[in-house]
Amino acid sequence: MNTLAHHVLYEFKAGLRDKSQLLMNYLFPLLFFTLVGAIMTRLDPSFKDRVIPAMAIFSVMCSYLLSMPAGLVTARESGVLRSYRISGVPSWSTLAAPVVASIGHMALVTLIVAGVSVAALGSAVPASVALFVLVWLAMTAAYAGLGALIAVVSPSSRAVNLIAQVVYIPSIMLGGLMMPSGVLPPALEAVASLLPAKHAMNAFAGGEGAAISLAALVAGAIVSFALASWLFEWDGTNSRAWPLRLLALLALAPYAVAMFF
Amino acid sequence: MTDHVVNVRGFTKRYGNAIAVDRMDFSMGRGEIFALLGPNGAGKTSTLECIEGLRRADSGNISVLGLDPVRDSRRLMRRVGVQLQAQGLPGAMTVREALGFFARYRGIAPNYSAAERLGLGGRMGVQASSLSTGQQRRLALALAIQHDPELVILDEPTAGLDVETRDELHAIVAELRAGGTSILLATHDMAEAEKLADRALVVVEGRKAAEGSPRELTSQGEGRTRISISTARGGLLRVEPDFPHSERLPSEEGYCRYRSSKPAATLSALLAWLQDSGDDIVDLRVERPSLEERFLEIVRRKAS
Repeated sequence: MNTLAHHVLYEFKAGLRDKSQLLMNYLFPLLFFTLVGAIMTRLDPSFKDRVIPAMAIFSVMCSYLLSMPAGLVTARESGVLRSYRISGVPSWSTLAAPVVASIGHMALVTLIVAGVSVAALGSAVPASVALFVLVWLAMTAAYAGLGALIAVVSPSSRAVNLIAQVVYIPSIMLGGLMMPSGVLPPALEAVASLLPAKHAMNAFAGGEGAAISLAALVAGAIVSFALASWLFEWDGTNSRAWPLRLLALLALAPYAVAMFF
Repeated sequence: MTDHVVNVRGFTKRYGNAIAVDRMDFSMGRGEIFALLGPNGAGKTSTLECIEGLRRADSGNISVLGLDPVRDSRRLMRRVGVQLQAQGLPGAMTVREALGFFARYRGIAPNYSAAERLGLGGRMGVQASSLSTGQQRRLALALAIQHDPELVILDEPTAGLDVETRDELHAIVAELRAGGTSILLATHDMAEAEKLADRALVVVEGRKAAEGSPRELTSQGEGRTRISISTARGGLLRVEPDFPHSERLPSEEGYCRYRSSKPAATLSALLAWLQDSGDDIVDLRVERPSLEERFLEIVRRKAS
């Protein structure tokens, strides 16, 4: 097993040992799924057709926006990243290992959500499992990239959750998870188009614009990871100048461009 | 092959407009323990971080084992071990996992004997967050030496440790040196530097203030020996006589105290005075100036 694989395996085990990660990766999304599944399918019977992609996106957001960035910033502040650096751990593997490890957790949660939705809520199995997996991977990569970028630009562990909420809450409200994004007023629909959640829901639904949304997710992931690697800091105090950190907003550019197609 | 494991020439480090280190020069020979001493904010950590490759020098030249610590950091990784002052480890990582994790990134097999040698043999399955401060320090040292480096950099290795653990770590450092490892040690503990170091550099306000062996450093100062004496009848305390080449210090706990630039002459006169007065010695202490006193003298002189 190579070095990165060992690192990923450690991060995966740490995700099971750490109570806060366990909460954000499993308990919170599954509890939310239970409540939403029970309530929303009564209010809106068509929700059972969206519940699998919606809850998959929700789980991925919990992990990559609420859990992983906070973990990375805490590691930076407590000197863990400096310990990595003096021992030759490269910056890309410091970012990649928790991302890849969380894919394992998210895949497990998505399988549980899909299984329970089909069995208990009467949701249909995705028409193309291969396409579903492809969109899921692109969506996961897009949020993982954003999470890594949020961790890298956040000045402190107190700020990281606030910055993450700027993406997390609009994604839930406007991303088409709870209600179809078509019911939104045009101005809010434009805001929603800047969020990976809307493009992921589009791509999961298939049909018109799905390919563009998929491409936007992939491009968003690439831009986010590239910016995160470039802006990465080992130091406990993030000393990057704010104008440089604001370049992180470029990660939304692929989604903005997709609006014009 | 260079004779110096660390060679620093004209090294300057700035943070914005503030100069942390100003045109520093020093070198450290192979196999020696070299102590970097200085008050808080003197520039020790900046110097160490540039030597470790964590930061870049703004000007001047630093070479470690003949290599550039930033440009050649990958090559130095296997030859240098670093124990940071605040060495964070992932809290969920066990001792065994930490040794394996960092060894793999250095491209070596995990060396569990380093941890056993440091008394962590029975704690291999314990997570870092559950280790005591002393055990965490030991683990940090085990991680720094498990790849048998030529140079070990220790930043405040015994800060916050109890006396026993500190003594054990001192013994390990001495053992490493006996095995030919060069050790760069930054410490606030002057007794530690005096005990361990072959040479020391005193840094004050980013500049070199003094350099030499602890003995050389102490002898370069005012060099006055402290004499404390307690007598059976307390004659010295009552009369408070003066003696040649000495300065009388305030008495303390029944001891008459002097600071002498020529202790032999002072002691002869003192003993003669006691004999003449019919008094007798209960306790006599003659102490040469410590590195700590010399350090304070250097820092105060620089500050004034």
